[in-house]
Amino acid sequence: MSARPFAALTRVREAIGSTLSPTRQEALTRLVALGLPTPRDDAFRYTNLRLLERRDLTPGPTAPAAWPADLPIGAERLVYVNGRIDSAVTRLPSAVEVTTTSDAVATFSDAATDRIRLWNAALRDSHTTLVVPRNTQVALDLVFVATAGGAYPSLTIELESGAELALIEYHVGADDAPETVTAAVLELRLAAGAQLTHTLVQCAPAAAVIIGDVTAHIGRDATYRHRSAVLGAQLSRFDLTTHLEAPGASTALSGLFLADRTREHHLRTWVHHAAADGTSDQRYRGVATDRGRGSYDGKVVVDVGANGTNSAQSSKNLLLSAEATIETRPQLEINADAVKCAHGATTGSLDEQMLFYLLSRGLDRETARAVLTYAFLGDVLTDFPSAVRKAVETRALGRLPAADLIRGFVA
Amino acid sequence: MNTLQRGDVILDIQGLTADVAGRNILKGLNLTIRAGEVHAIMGPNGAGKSTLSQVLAGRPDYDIKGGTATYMGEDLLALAPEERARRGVFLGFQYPVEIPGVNNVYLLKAALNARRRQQGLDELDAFEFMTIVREKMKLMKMDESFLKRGVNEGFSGGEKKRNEILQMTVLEPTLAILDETDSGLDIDALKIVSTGVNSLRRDDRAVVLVTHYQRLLDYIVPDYVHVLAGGRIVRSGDRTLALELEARGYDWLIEGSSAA
Repeated sequence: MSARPFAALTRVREAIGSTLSPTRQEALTRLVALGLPTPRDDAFRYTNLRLLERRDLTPGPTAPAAWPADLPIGAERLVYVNGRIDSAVTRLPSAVEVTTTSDAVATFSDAATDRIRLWNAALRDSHTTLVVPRNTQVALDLVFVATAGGAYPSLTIELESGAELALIEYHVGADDAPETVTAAVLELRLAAGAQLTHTLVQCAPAAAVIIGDVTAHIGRDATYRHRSAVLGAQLSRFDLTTHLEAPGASTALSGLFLADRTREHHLRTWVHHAAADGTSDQRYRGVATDRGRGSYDGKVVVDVGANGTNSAQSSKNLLLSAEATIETRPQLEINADAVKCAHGATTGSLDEQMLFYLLSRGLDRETARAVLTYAFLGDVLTDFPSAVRKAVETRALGRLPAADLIRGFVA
Repeated sequence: MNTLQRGDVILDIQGLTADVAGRNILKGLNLTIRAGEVHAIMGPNGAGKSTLSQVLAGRPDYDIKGGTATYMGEDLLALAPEERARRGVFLGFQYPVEIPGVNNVYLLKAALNARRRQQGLDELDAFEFMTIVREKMKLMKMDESFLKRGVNEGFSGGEKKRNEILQMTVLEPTLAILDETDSGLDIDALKIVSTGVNSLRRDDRAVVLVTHYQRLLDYIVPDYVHVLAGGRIVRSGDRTLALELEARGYDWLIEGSSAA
């Protein structure tokens, strides 16, 4: 560690502090005093952000939006470039109501995750709220492009009762993009009976750092589904908090990460059953190879009175090299009755019996290993929209040896 | 490879000794298999039957301590499992593993093309391949849903065994080793599996049936029956030996094993 944690924040304050509003200056000053989370904060136990020290956290410039052509990004989309909405390429569905505010900083605690939100609030361009009106169905793609410096998108999406939203979130950038840093904060509010399906594809360039904070408030009989494919960047960290706030609320979280080379992918989930008869399901798969690192830190809390809760949690991980690491911590805290909870996490290497079976059928070792790795990840890909799945498969395959040979194996 | 004549030696095992997890299981086993022959290897539990099958297929965690196994003139034990498969050695597993997410038919296609490349043949295109698979599936009375499923994924015990035999009939190995393929099969499935195995019998191939029960041999009539006990072949004979074993058990042979 360097002498002073997160001098990068001090540099931002020196560079642009005087241009910020008093509220933001105050927020930034407080953040400089608190510092960004470190592994000493329990919530960041597995995530070390010290590589941010050397990076420029100043909000990046306006720049043209661009993304890989094969991503199935639709015409109705909300595009951020370096944390700023790019209105030239953004088109929102007509049913959606939009409000944008520039300067409201909420009250944040000193907790690690709140410090990420404080960071975002101090440096963001603006905060946008989208409302999907009652009983309407909307599809929207959310594109985060990072080309230089820091990016601090901040977005709230509210679904009124009975509203449905299919949201696909992409993290992208040009392949030669420098060491960008994104800290995105997304708040989701689901009224009674609302349904939100949130797909996240993190395929950022190799030098990027992506920090994502998602908080979902789930109302009565509402459903929040989140599935993520985390493939790119140098380091990515997602915090996923779901509050099941009214009876019958449900959430299903799933996803995969592939940490090759020296990449790091960290996920923290916090599922909060605050009301009766809620359902939550978590299904994660992680693969680390070369010197890749990953973690799954998942906590389920069942409050007093949240009777009839049904919760499942599974994290399965695969280590493909001796220098790769994956850490897991599934946690369960139950304070209610008549609760059904299952949880577990495993980390291991490829199954030797499966490997021998494939070899005994004449597959070469490299192909056999790649096929098994891919099949392992593919298990959570089945829920993805097919066009997104294809884009994810192409990228995941590209990271594995013998890509062409294994393409057909997973039909 | 196509020049094998009935009676040519396919596999010659001499003095094979192997350990499993530090325990000596095979203790100097001798066995010669010739083209056109079906051999049944019988014996009590723990005699080393499955170890022999797995050793011949190249299972990596089994330690060869001594002896030789020569397959078509090559040192079999020096070949990696995938090289053995491509040269025509097929193991039908006693407990075929489930591999979720890996397509059953695609594996079969990759396996067949790996074998064909080794034989200097062109890879089959999708249509030619499916024609063969559909024909063999009909023989094995397997329905279309098998094509879409993961390798053995959610298969019953009987379905897994039929899938092994389906793979065998498509791959047309020179040497098929079937490890207790009959265990856990009802009589109908046993007949189907036997039809599959019998369809493979040819002058330039050989089949080794590892089995606990004589019952299978009513449907696949072997040329030779061997008793494997204490890590060695202690008695060899024709199919009447299997009937004798059924009547008398193994004890009379194990006591006299030094005679082998």
